[in-house]
Amino acid sequence: MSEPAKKKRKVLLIGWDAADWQVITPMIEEGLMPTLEGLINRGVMGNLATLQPILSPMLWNSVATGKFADKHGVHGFIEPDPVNGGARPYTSTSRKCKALWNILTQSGLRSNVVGWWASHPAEPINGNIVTNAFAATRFDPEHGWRVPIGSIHPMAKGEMLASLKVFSAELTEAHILPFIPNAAKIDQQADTRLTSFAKVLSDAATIHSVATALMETEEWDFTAVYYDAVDHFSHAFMAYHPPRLEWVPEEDFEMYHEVVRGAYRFHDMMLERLLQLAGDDTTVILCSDHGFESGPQRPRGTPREPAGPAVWHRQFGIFVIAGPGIKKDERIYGASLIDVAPTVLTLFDLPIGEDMDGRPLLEAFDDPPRVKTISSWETKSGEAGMHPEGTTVDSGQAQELMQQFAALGYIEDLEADKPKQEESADIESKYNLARLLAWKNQPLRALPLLAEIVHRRPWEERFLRQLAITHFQAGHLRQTERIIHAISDNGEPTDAPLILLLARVKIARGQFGEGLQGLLAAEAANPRLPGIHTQIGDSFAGLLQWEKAKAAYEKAVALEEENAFAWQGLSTVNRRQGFNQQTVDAALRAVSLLHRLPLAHFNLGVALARSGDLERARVAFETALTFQPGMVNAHRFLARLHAGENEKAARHHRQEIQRLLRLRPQARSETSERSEKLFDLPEIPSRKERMETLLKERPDPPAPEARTGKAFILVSGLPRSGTSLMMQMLEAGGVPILSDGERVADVDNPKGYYEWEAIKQIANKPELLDAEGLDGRAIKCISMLLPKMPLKHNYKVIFMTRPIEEVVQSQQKMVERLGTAGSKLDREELGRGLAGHRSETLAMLKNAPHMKFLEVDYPSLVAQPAAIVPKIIEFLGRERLPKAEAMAGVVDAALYRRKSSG
Amino acid sequence: MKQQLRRGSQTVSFPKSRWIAYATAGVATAACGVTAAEAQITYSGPVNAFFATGSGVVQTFNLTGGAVLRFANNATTSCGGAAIFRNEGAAVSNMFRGVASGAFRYPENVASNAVISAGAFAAFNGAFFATLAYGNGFGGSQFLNPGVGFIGFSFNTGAGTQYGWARVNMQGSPGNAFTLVDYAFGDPGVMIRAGQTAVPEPGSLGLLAVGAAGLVAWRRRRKVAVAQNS
Repeated sequence: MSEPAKKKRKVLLIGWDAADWQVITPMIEEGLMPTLEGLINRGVMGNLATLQPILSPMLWNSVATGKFADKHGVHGFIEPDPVNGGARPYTSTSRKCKALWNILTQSGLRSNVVGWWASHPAEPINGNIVTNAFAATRFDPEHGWRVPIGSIHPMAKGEMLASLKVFSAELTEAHILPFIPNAAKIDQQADTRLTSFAKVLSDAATIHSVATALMETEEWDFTAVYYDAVDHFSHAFMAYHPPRLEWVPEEDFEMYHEVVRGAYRFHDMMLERLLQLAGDDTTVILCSDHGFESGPQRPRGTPREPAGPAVWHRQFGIFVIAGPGIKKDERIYGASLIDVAPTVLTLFDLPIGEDMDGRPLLEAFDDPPRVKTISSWETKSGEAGMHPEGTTVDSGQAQELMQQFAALGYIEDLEADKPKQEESADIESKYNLARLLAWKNQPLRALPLLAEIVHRRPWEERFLRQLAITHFQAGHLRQTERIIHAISDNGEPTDAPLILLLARVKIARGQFGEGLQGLLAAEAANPRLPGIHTQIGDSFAGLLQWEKAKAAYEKAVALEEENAFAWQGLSTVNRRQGFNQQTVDAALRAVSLLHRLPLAHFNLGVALARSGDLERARVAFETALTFQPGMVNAHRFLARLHAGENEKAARHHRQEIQRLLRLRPQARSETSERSEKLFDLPEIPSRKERMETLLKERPDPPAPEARTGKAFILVSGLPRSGTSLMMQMLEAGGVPILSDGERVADVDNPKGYYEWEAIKQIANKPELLDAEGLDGRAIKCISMLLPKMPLKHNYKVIFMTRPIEEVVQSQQKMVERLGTAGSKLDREELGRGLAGHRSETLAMLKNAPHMKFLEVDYPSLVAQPAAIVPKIIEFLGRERLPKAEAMAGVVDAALYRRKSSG
Repeated sequence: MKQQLRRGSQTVSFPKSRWIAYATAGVATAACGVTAAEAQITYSGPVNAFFATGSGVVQTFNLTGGAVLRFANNATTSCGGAAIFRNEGAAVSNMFRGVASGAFRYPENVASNAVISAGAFAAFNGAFFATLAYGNGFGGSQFLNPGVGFIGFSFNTGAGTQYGWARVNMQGSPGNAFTLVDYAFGDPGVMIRAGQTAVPEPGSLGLLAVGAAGLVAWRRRRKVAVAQNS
């Protein structure tokens, strides 16, 4: 060894989706999150500004790549499935650029990546990946563990990692009571919230177990773990978080008000273990992609549209960094989640791609390192552990994730046919991308996308509005007006956002009187949206109406204290009114929330210069110019500040002023040409027609009974639980059976007689049950298939149960005989898997609106058939069992056969 | 809002030990994950001691380390009976949840399931009892109406503050006869709720938080428990 080994830097990146200081801060004050508190004390903390639109897959891929979604290519939850048609969750094959783990692989470093959004299928990196599809790991009664294909790299670890899957059914009251102290009082038939709670908690425990196992057993330089539970718990339970909202029933509040806080506490406990495994010499970054409304701003409902639940998301997530070389007990301002990847690269002393959109957060370092750059990592050759060209994805594995998205309200009806799913995925992706581009102030790139989706769906209000706003952003005033009139009844807007937009058009045209009237009308509508008040304030400010502007900004701040744009506006008003101290306060407040606000930096500079603090003023003006190089007034101030001291700098700024001023007349003529230009616009249906079309597309969930006229009887349960016996009984009772052996009775194989092989394909062929004459038949259906039965029919499920130990005995013989993966499992593992699977199935049955079920205990049935038969009659209805009196006899006969053959 | 984000040098008002106890004695560390000393709640079991109006008999109920609860119903100077309570005998402190008003002490009628420690506590006035209910009503009495209520108390015998509750069934003013139904108290650091009689299966949530090692340990522990039960 030529030189002493340098101590290697390790980085642990932890993602807590939707974690928010507004919940955390009071909890730390109460001492309820001691681990996070300790981390903050030995590190640097701050807000992490999110990006738009606030959709987790887009955001976490920006965290992992340091690039906006237009570069990384993950544009939402689902994408069209090029292999099978329809839609699928966004996959790692759709990511267009390298993630941190690819760059690290290329740099000879080893990573663990667990649970990351759109990391499925796992890339062949140097290290381990357990993808976001791993949670779908199931225990199959016939085949043992089934880990979704592609969810683990390297696959050899499948069996070990699968055993770390925590079933919701494994959770006991000891796990649940700290969150829901009165859980025992919940009527689980009527209230399904406990079931969803247990699912989220067990999924979090699974991710955590996998992450800790990898950290303990693997060499690593970088570990990235993503937990979605705070987001899921918040979506399900934030409505019950204290203080009680007036529309939340008191009993619900009493039952569930501790869940969100409990979730944060649990994460604090998990954090403690992660820190312990990481050790003190690891740099830890904890972040969230956005916050979550927890106060009076909580929305009353959730829009019934794809990604509608995002209305709960707040603009600021959390950021904490701690470790060797990081400042202690400090705050950081203006960080964005796009900055995380460049910061991680800097920690590893690796160059940052100049095509990355973020910056390293150097202010967090004790001794800021020199930042290296490289034009792009994308063109750098070398093994980066990415998918080989042409990698395809097994989309069947993604079904679980799709169901989860649908349950959370992020995507539309799963029952839709494939072309409709594909269409929906395509349109949503384009809409999301367009919103990002508009947010990045690139309206001209957003407009073609919006124009396309408006042509395809001219009845979608949200697309039309985004189109109007984006045209306004682009300076297309006439087109903006045209759209506003087209989507308003009688041509005149009636709601605050549209009234405001029209007023802004008028002001931009110089029609100040009309514009002012519009602003007053928008304000009179008193919308509860802080963004509207900020825009009203900006417009009043444009008209030099300072007091009115101030009132509007103050309204925005009253609604949302962390509205950076409102604080920026207040700093402008105060500057114009000559209040230096207030200007400084408001401007600092604004940039501490969002660093990229050139006007706020400018205002700060002016107030500082006025109060004689010239050195700081210079820094503020220069910062303003880094974000907006064409800001003439900042150059003016800097020219004056440098005059006589640094003549070279002063000259530079004077030259810039001249150059920018020369450009202006040209800019003006372009502006007027642009403002009057008209663009293609399809015919927009009337508001009433638009609403009708939308309601038809997204109807209220139908009542279970109204869903369809068809009803099937399913006999289900774990294998070897007496399903064949029940089928025999039903047949004897007069129920028509659907099976392969329908007309060919095979007395030697009564079990085979009841099988209907085709049903195994029901997930891919839902039309199987559509054929004439099948209504009302009884079908034997293994438990794995129950969740896959088409939602459009109704089912009465007779679910056979039998003591797990008996099933295990019987199963183990079978798997040994078959020599499948399951045979490697010991009895205990098999029993746990079977019990977990059965409980999950029963939980699913309890919650499925299209299924009613009756649990029948096999030993009881055998012992006392006469006692069970009436229950079956009651469940199915006497009319379905014309020969019910013959049913009990089947059991006796079966017993007789067994006795006589034994 | 961010201005309120406190920085690390401030002290916390909630000891870490209580946090750990909260999470069902959860332990998020591997070292103690498997064999953590499990914090306990001591429950009296049914007591059902009756205090007749004006009987004047003081009954004592043991806590731990010399600390006791005392109850009585004394005759009043006006009409009916006075239901009274105190806890005493702990070396460091004896307190109750409620308020001091001049020389008088009034325990709060704590809601079922409320966290006992999450309220205001007051010390006793010398050797005097605190008043649950006095005749037709006196000052801040909260136990005048018939029905079941909870008294919250704390004591410290030197091992740290312990919280507990006592459940009383009042018969109403002015007689204020009552029954002490039962009571319970937690070990130092245990968060106890009014009516809670046990810490549910200690450590389970903490073991989940430990991750893989904790999961394995918890499954093993549960298997043992199941085997013992059968």
